[in-house]
Order: sequence, then C-alpha cells, then structure tokens
Amino acid sequence: MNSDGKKNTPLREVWKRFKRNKLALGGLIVLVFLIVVGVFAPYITPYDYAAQDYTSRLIYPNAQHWFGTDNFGRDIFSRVIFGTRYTLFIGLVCTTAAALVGCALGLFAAFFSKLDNVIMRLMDVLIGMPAMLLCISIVAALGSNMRNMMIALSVTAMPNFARVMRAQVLTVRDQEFIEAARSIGASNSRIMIKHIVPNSLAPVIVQFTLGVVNAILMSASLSFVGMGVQPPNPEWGLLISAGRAYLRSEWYMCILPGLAIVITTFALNLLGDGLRDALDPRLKQ
Amino acid sequence: MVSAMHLTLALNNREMVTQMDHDLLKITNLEVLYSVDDDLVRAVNSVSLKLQDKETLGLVGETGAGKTTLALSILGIVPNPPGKVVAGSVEYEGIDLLKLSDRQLRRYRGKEIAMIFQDPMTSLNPVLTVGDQISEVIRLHNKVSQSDASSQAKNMLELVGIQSSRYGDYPHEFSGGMKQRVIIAIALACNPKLLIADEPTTALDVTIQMQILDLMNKLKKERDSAMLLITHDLGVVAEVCDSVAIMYAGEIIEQGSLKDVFEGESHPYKLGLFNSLPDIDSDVERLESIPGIAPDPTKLPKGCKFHPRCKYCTEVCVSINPEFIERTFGHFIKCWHIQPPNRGNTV
Repeated sequence: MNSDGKKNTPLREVWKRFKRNKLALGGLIVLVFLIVVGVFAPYITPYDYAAQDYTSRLIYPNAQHWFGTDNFGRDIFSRVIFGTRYTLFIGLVCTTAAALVGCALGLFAAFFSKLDNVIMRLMDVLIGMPAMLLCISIVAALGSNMRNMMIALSVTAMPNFARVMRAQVLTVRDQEFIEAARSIGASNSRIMIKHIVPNSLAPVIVQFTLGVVNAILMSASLSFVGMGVQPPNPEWGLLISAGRAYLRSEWYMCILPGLAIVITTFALNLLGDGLRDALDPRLKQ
Repeated sequence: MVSAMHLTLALNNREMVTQMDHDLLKITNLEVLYSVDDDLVRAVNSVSLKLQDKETLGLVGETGAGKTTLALSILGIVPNPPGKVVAGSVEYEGIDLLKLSDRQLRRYRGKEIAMIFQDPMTSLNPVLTVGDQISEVIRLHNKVSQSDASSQAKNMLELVGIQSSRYGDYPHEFSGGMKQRVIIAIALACNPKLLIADEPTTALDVTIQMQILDLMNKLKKERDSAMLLITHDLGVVAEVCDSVAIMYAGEIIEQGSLKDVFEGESHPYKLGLFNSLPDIDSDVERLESIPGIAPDPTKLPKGCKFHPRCKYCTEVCVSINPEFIERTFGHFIKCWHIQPPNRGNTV
C-alpha cells in the first residue's frame, strides 16, 4: 500500500507515470475538451450551423463571427464546433471496431498456430494495398456516404491491430504464468481472456490512439474528395473542401477548420506518446 | 533352482505388496519428443516411475536431463508443438491420463495434481492480485461463491505465512520468497493428492530456500499429499525425500530409497555426482567433476547414454544399453559396471 492509503493497482502506476509527462497530459486535456465541446455543441454554438444568411456572406473573422462566414453566409465557428462531433465519432467508432475485430483475429492467430497463416496472410493482403486506395475502392464499391466510409476506415485499420496483438500474444503466450494457469486446470478460453488479453493490451492502447489520428485524417481526406460525409453536414474535411475555391481571398475558410484538425491530431499524438512511455515497463524509473 | 524359486516368490510377494500399497502415480515407458526444425530431441526416453500415496520422490539430474518435461507430461501440458508424448502411459489412480481428453484432464490439473514452478518471478500473472489467483483455482474446481472462494484463499495465505490483508496486493509487491509462498498456496488450495514441485527453490536465496522447503514439507505432511520433487540439489533430496530417482539424458539410471541411493551400490554417474559435492571432513583444493558434458539430446550416443563420460566404460557399454536391474529390494540401477557402495557418502 501507498503512504496515502491507496492501492497500488497497475492502472494507478500507469497514471502516476503518465502524469509526469506534461505534454501528454496537455494532449489529454485538449482531447477531453474536444469531447465536451462535441457533446455540448448545440449549447455552445452562437448560430445554427446550417442557417444560411445571404446578407452576410464571406465575412472575415470578427466579434460576431469568430471564424467568419462562408459563401452561403453560414457561421464557420458553429460549423467547426459541430464538426467536432463528426470527427470524434468517426475516429473513435472506426478505431474501436477495427481494434475489436483486429485484436480478436490477432489473438486467434497467435494462440492457434493452425489459424496463424490463414489470418495473417489475409491481413497482409489488406496491408499490401495503400490505405487510401483501399478506402476509395471500398467506398466506390459500396457508395459514397458516411456509413460506407466508416466501414472502409475500419477495414483499413484492422490489420494493424491484428499484427500488434499477434506479436504481443506470441510473447505472452510462452510465459511461465500461462503454463501455471494451464497447470491449475484453466481452459483455453479462460487463459485467453483472463491471462493473455490483459497482459497484451499495452501496445494495443498505444496503437488505438494512433489509429484514431489516422482515421480522423483519412475521413477528412475522403470527405474532402467527396467520398465520405456529404454536404451540407459540417465535417472538417468538407469545410476545407468548400473553402478551397476561396483560398486566395478568404483564406480563413480553409485554414481555421484545418487548424482544428491539426490541434486534434496533435493532441492525440501527444497522448499516444505519453501512453506508450507510461505503459512500457522498461521505461520505469 | 531353489534360489530361483525363492526369487520368483519374492517377486510375487513384492507385486502383492505394491498392489496393496496402491500406486498413486505409475509412469510406464514414457517417451517424449521435441521436434525442433528437422531435429528430434529425445527429452524423455522410456521412463518408468512409481509414486505411492504420501511418498516424496526426489527426481535428480543435470539441466536438460528431461526432469521438467517428465513433470509437464504428467499433467499433459508439454508445449505442443514442438513437444509430443509418443509412447507410454501415465496412470494416476489407475486411470491413464494420456488417454483423457483435454476437458477431462482439466479436472485433474490443480485439483488432483498440482504443480509448483521453478521461477516465482514469472509464474504469477502480473495483472491479477494474488488473492484472485488463489481463488481462481478454488473456483475452477469447486462450486463456491466468490466470497467463499476469497475467504478460503485468505485462509490459504495465512497457511503459507502471509497476512490475509495482502489478499488484494499484486505480485510485484511481493519478494521472490513471498511469491513462492503464494504459488504454494495456489498449488495446495484444492488439496491435491500429488504435488509436483519443479525446482521450487532454485531461484531463491539460500536463506529462503530452507524456509520454503520446510513449509512445503510441513503442508504436504498435514494434507497427506505425495510429492514429486524435482531438483539438482542433493542436499535438498537428503533433507526431504523418501526415495530418489536419478535422471540422465532422458533416462532414469538409478532409483531406490533414500538410504539405498545414498549409501548403496552406485551407477558411475551418481558416483560422479557425489564426488563433486564438497565434503566438510576432507580438505581438498578442487572438487572432482565429471569429465565432458551431457550429450546433445538430438544425437544421443548408442548403448549406455553415459558411456562417453564414464571411466568404467567397456565395449559392451558402447553397443548395448543396459537393463534396469533390481540390485537389492527396490533399488534399481541401469549399468553394466555397478560400483560398490562408497562409504564416504553417508547421509
């Protein structure tokens, strides 16, 4: 026990190490802030994000319209705030789906050596194609909308999780406490769920934060080229795409939503780095 | 003629005696192979072994002699691939464990036969509390509620000399000796009839070794378990075992009661082992060692496996593997040139 009477759980240890990294802590705070903004978007936005006002088109950022207005007179600040919802939703849901399926596949591949080649060669096929090309192909085949884009993003991210999980399970599987678990009569499924998975999660968590970054960037790119979220929804990639035509005169239409993407991904990257350091026992001080 | 009859009679008698004694564990002609790349590693070669109720058998041998593989094959947990039990039987209370399905075998593991592993540092799951790990085995084999299991687990902790308030602590908060106590608690939680201890003290401090051995011995006696103690420490064997089997290159080369093995006739390998021990009474510059190294298990020599290192080696040793001969009642030696008792090695 600690001096403060709290238990020294592994989670608490990780948090203690994580706290020391101020940049990562900053990343976490920004992310929490973005989630709050996304959840409470309707209460924060000064204007209706879809309301068009032709008397105030293409206004530069000012006290009334912090991020200016677009060519339809819509308030860009409100649109960026609502875009947080899309971005975080897409990023988290796609990556979660990819992580669940990918980790299960990786676990089975590593645990049952007969399945190893079948599963991992299939993953290799997916990894072999450039991610963007794969996404575009899937969306082109299924049709351009947000749901199909999310399916495409999940499929693209899945093999990375399968690989990370497989590698980790291969090392954990041969440790003595797995043999010990077997010797007390634990079944395969019990060994996998209770003994192997919890000991294999650390790199998966890091991969998850990086996966969210990737999904956010890809979804913005796909929406930008018209293969993802469809207008008039305020997705960040779409906002940039809409501002492209006005880039020379009304630069803020592209730059400010772009800044939102940069801040989000930067925060997630810092968080991921911090988590990697905190979860890696070799860096324990 | 008369003596021959006498011998058969004696043998029959012995047969009856052992039947009555009731073998808890009877291993017959067990063979375990590891296939690594294209090489076949013969880890256990035609090993036969008997263990009676409440008996403590010491299994002694060098690193790589196949002791651990033998132990794992009793529980059916030889890592497969690469390992495979290719022949023989492991009878526990008359039931051949090798013929059981994995589901049936799981009922024996931890409940009837429990194992203590060599390295306490790595045999506990680092993300579960020690209490959870003790109650896991209780819950696996008994239909009890979580709270009953945890109170039983707390009792087990007290039994092995750990305060039950440490139930919720994680393995990294314990020292090596304490971890080994936790592992003993896990192994004994379901009152197994057979305890397999695979070098339980090798990874520990000398000062802790004795404590752990005493603890194991005490609990084993309290609970009437039999024990298969794997070790390469002859001092440990002399301390706790009733009988001894010596393994070399996957074979058992000598087996008998503690007194027979320590004071009776001898296989040359055992002679070498004893001569390499320091003797408190004699003042020598250097301890004697057995020349050469243990054979490569992928290329075991023909004939007696020990012949390349044996100073008594003759032609017959090179070509024919000796039989396991019963020299005196219950004392078996596998050698062409059995050596007379060495008076220097009294227990």
